[in-house]
Amino acid sequence: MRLARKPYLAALAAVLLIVVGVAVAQGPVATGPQTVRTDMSCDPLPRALPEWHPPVPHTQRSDWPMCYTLATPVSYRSTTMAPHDRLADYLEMPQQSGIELVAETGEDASILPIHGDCATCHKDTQVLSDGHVPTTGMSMAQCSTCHVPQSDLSLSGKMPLDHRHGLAGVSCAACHSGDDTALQEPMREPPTETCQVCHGSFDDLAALTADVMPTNPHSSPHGAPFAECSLCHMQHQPSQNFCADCHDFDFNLP
Amino acid sequence: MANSDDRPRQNSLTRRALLGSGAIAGVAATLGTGAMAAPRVMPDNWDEEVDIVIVGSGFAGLAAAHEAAKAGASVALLEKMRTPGGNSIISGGVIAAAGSPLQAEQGIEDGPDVLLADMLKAGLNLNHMALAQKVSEQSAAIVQWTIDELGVEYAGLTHMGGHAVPRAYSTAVGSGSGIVVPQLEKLKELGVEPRMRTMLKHIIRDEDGRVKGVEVRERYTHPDPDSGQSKTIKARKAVVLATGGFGNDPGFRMMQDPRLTAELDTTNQPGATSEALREALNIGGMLVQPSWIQLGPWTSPDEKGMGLAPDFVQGTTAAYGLWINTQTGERFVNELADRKTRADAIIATGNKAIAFADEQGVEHARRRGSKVDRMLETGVLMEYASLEDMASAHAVPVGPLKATIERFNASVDAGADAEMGRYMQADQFKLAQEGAYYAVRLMPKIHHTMGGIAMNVDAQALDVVTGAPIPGLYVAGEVAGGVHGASRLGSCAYADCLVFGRIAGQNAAAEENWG
Repeated sequence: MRLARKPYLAALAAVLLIVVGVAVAQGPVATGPQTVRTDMSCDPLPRALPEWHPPVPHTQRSDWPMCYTLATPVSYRSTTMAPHDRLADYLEMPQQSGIELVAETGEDASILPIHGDCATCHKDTQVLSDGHVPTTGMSMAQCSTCHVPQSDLSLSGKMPLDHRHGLAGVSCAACHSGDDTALQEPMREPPTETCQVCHGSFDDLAALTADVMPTNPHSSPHGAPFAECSLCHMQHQPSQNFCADCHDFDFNLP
Repeated sequence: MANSDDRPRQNSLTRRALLGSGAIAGVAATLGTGAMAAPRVMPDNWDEEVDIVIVGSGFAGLAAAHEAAKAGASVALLEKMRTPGGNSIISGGVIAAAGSPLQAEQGIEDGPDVLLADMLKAGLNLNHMALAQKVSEQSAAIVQWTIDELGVEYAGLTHMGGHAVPRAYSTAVGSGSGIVVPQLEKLKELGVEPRMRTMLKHIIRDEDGRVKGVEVRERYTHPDPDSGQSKTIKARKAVVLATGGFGNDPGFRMMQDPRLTAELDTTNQPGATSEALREALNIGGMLVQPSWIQLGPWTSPDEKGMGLAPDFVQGTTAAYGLWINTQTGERFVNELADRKTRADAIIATGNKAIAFADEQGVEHARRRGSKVDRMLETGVLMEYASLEDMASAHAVPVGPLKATIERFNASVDAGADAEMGRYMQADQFKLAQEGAYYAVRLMPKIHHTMGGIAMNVDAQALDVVTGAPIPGLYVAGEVAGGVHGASRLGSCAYADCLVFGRIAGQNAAAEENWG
């Protein structure tokens, strides 16, 4: 059975490589330094697939039998199935936050310091796990199809927040400017209100994290001075569990 | 400008003398400040000039800034941590007021003399009398000031340990933020905002003996003494030190009481360290009573720091429940005694003590807003189906425990606690024979440092050589010593900090400019 299946897979791969080649040759070409493709054939797909990905002809899970058997150019960490299941969930997901909207509407992505191509900055240092799919061209939303928030694969605490913002299309100027057009000089830490434009009020955040144990991190009894995003969530250095200065609250924070 | 640590010393003899002293070198090594004791050199040029530099943004610093700004002085309000409020903003939210309107409503007779007597008793009469007197005289007025001037909202009265009667106003939000936040808001209206992450490095005292400014480190990252950038600020009128205590500074703490090792937990925030106090000593401030370090008796080993237990242990079990030695099943202290008496008594049991209440007590706690469910979730409060179950879980001999409860219930009937002399509440109820019981394990944690810089009733810091005020230097709050003697009563720190903070701010603003 296994022996019989291998030629079948090889044949499928060959067919798909041809399809990919045609699609790349004939499809509209992404311009500028943006590496995120937005020219997918599947209309309802709200965000692009990475460059290496073969075209997705349909959007229903049942329409993807090939995805499940496909010999992709990379080996997945564990199973081939799991990420695609999450992708299916993702496709059915409504728009969720202002940040993703920023990604959609393309806040000047050309000045983003990162765009999924880790090696641009990290050079030869390995920052992804062995066998990780190529990330060039990925958006944060795409990362999250596998790295589902609050799951075992969550990126919480594993990737600096400026990377996450960059991958979500949030430019430096989105936070570090007075009028959203130019970078501040000198650059300063933005006030909590800047974060709240996309992330909502503390009441909204508290509702999102109501079930976090051992206590809700966004519902401090200590008043407004203890409700500053940057007390815990750092962008350009590792985040800190500020509560842990005095409490034994073991949060895994982004 | 260059880091002043690189500058030549004014007096190299001083430096050599210090290096030659094994004892002092030992202190420096333990405390690790990265700088030797030496007088500061006046800078040729100041990076900034203001009328008054206030160091610390707890109750005292904010009250000083408030008065100084109201008097028209320009103020630089410095805070080394990333959040304002120090220990004040995370504290329990109770402030003593002797002879208050709420007491009058409840028919409780009280007055400054009664409060003073309580303070002296807990303080073992080591209190600097004029200072303790000032706090007791002003307590009711200062609470009224928080209401009238700041709009602070209070929920009612709490009976704190060591007080003859219930006299502590409790903030509606249940913590010190109920006062600190309105203080910050009011200050913002007055044009003053705390400068976060700005640490006092040196107080600059000129050869004429006057304090004339400070050297600070901006963008400081606690606790790295060399982080950030150096800057000098000229204080035309005065410097006010409101830098708090040293409860979270094991090195300096152990210098004063070697038993209080780093293994002990503390209720204090990480910034409650000694460097500002030591800098005040470095320029000639006088240190008083530093070995009196108070442990809070209402904390639990089953959570870190202050945690959730104190509100329940103090507000419920001390007034409506009992504290017992688990080895004997008997009470071992008046549950409403002062903190030192109770902490010492718990330690004497070998920390084998629990505080408990019955269902009626827990209902009372819920009505007060105590976080009963959270404590049950985290496990710091333990629920048992019966008294017997509680006894068994903590290895308490059940017979003696039942006898203890019977004796207490007889005291409730009699209207007087025959066993420990505990104050009987107006709504005191007997402990149940049946039904659930709730217990917290007790273990004292370091809470307040009574000692500090000597001051007079005008909040002027005193010189170690002359005993006279150091011109241009004021102190207020926990960094000052003497107000509370051997042990501070709960809810008296708020009154102390606000009373002397205001005095320091007013007097600093009234100083003549030195240049």
